[in-house]
Amino acid sequence: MSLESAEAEGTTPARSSSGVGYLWYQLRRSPLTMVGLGIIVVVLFIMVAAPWIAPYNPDKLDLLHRLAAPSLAHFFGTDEVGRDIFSRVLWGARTSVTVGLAIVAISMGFGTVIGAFSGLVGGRVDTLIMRFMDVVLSFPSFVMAMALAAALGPNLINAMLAIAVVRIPFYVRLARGQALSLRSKPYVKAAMSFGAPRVQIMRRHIMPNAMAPIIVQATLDIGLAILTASALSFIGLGAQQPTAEWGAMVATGRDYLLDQWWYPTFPGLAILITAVGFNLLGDGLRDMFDPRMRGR
Amino acid sequence: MQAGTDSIVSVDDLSLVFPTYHGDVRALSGVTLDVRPGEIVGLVGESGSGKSVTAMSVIRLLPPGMARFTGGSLSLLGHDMLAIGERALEDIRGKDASMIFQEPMSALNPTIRIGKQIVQVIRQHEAISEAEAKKRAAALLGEMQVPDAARVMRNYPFELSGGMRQRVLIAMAFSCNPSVLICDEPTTALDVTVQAQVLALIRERARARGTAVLFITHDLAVVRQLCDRVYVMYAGRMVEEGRTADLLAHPLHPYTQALLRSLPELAEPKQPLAAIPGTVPALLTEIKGCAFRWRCAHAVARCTETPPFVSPGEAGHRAACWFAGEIAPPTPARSMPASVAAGEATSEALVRLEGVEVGFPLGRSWLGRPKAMVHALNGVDLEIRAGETLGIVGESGCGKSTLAEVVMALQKPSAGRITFDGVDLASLDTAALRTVRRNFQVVFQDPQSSLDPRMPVWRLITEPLYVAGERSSRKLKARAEELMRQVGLRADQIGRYPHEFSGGQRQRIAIARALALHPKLVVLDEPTSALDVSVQAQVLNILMELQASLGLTYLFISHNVAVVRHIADRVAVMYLGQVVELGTAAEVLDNPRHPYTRTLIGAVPKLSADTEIAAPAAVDLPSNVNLPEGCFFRERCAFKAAGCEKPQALAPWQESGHQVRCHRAAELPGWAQA
Repeated sequence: MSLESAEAEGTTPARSSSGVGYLWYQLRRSPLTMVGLGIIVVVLFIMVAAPWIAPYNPDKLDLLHRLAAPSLAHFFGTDEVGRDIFSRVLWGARTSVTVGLAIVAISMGFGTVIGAFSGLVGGRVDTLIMRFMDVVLSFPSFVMAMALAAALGPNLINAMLAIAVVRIPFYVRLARGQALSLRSKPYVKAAMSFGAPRVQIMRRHIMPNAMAPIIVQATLDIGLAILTASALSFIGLGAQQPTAEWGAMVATGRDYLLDQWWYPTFPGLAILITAVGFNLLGDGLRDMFDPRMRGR
Repeated sequence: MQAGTDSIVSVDDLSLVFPTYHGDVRALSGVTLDVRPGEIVGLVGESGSGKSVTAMSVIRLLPPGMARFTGGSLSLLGHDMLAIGERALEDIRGKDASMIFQEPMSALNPTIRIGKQIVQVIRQHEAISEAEAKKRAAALLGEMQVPDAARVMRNYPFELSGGMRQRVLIAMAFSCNPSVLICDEPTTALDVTVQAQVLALIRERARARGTAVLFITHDLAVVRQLCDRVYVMYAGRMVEEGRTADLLAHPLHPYTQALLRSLPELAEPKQPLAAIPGTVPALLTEIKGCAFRWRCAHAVARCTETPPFVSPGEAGHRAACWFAGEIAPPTPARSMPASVAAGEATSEALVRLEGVEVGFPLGRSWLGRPKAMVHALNGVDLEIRAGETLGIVGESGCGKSTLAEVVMALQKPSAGRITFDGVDLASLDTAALRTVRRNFQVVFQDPQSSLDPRMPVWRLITEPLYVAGERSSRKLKARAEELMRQVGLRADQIGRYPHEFSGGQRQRIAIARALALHPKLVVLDEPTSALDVSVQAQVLNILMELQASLGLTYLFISHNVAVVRHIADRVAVMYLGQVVELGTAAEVLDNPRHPYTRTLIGAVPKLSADTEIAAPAAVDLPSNVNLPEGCFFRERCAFKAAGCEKPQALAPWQESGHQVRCHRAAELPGWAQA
């Protein structure tokens, strides 16, 4: 018989520990993360399919059936002008979740670039950027967002921008911390020893390797962003009538809480469940990216 | 079998798997091991051989969800460790069996004072008063030769040196008089002189208290110095067991033989080493038969059947090989044909350092003035000659790495002059400096961390070219293929990622990257110390070949004296930012004249020596913040005399090029060590 070659038996497996397959393997081992993922998949499906699955037009008034209790005709009841709350919650997913994702995308994008740059360059530039971020952070973030939204004018886009700006410093700090620790990695030192300019080091080495914790933070933030956007809508600085948006629905439904409990409760539950979903996924991702979990 | 009631630790046919994404990793396959009362047993193997897993299994330290026992038995002092409950385990750990780990900093709680940590361990297992436990802790520290034990008890871990921390851990491990002490590479993170102290301490204390020791290491010389008996592991199985002297003098298993052959200690300097071809097999599939057969020179068809673990000759020395006892052991003094022509060193200086000093400010006052300075280099005069390998030897904190950075023009000296090819580096502007820097490339210690994990190999290798402005992927790939072949890797693997290669292959990739710009000088910063012995031999060979074919100049930094002796033409020994001895490798390392060099070389565990190395006195390195007056080595020196309080100059000893920074160099007795 012939001896098998060491090459065939001896090389390390070619499956990567960072690919999609690996993520899926890790997800399956954590039931809570799977629950979070399940919730998000359902929410995303609702966002896409709202026009087809919503039984009514969310803006259609039906003054004969105002403030109707949940029934087979209206699963979540109707509001003060007879709109179907179930349909509005489904449609509201489009607004609320999109807003959440957009906020996070904006704050993550800006925050990561600024933070990575700050950490890599160091010195006075770093101090300046970070002190400025401290100033932004020293305001209570909701009050700050309120002030910005009020100054820009009450509409959903402005509320979104306001919240995104307020969230930027968190990503700056995170990305800077990553950049600082990556800066001392031998492969970054090696790149420096080849004379690589900073921008190149940032693009080729810092950014790709810093992304894991930032993505985790972003996932955790989506829930918070949805909540904050809803809160701004709740106090009248975000989505305006008649847009179906969860926060705005809770705000108007608040007056009916005692007699028509279903009005604020269902949109409120939608916010809660979505936020929990993103948080569970975020927690799961954080555990997964923990270096001690690598390869397991 | 001798395994029986008299063993403290008895592992029999133990198998264990780690479930992972890639499948079950068969970390242990039928491991058998015994530790008897009062003996020191070594467990040797390369990374991934399963030695640490075996040791951690003994006191069930592996997290339950992570590992699954699939067969065999495991007993400690008669307890069935596979069936035991968590509460009973807590009683056993620390009291009957305790463990010392590799990294003493992370094994101590950084927020609790040393004394309190020891007291906690004692009081966890024994019902005694706080005061009594404290007294016992102080006595223990004294026993571990910790100077000023009362002060150390009040210290936090970060206030102690690595060697002191390891002593504290040993004190803790002995605090409840365990029957067995498990040491997992306790000296690997330490400098050689400190390692010698710690090894001597473990040996003495274990003997005095009758404690059995299971000592895990990758270093055969350490085993030779310390252990009564030794087990050799490969790919999760035992391949050989025997009395240390027997096993090292007459190894039975081809793996043990090959491992010994690949050591630079036993080879002619500058000659190719007998590396073991290939790499350790992945343990994802069940390996039937001998796991070493793919790399074995003696493998035949029969090796696909599992060989028995038997003793061919004298009792107690057995090996898992069909041909145990039939294969001739290696002959240590081989004379290989000189296939590698020794790099013809010219006497022309490529890089010259004159009076180079580097200081780092330590904190700044509010005016921006440094509060204190760390003196990393204190007046280094050195020339690196074209085509030679200059070895730099010294312990941590001696300035080796700073020297490398200065030579590569990555760090500006605070005083002194550096010239490259006659050009003063200080006179160059940024652009010119960038061009000059292309002549210097570096290979770092750990290829795992010096290669960006998210880049394919061809991008990694050609990164210097990319930085230099080459953007065509086609050209970069072509150069990458060429470089891969040059370092002995397959050119069709340039699309793979670093994690798909073994440690030795990764280091070749790092070497290929260093060669991308056709440098003149390559700085090798501990290039083999993160690698296993058999792989180290491969990498050293490739380095020597490349030097001969490309006419490279190497600055080879290492704490490993044997490796430097093998590869270097000239050697500089550094201590506290100064060169204390300089000369050819043979002059400096075979006939050291500086007392520090002697201390250093004397502390290196030897494979051949029968005598146990004497531990140098437990002294910490002087601080490089407050430099000592006069000779820097004075306080630790055994030859201290009048005149040592004056600063010493590096002066030729006798008429050769051998220079020593000691005024008593000529008076020192002759050096008599093999």
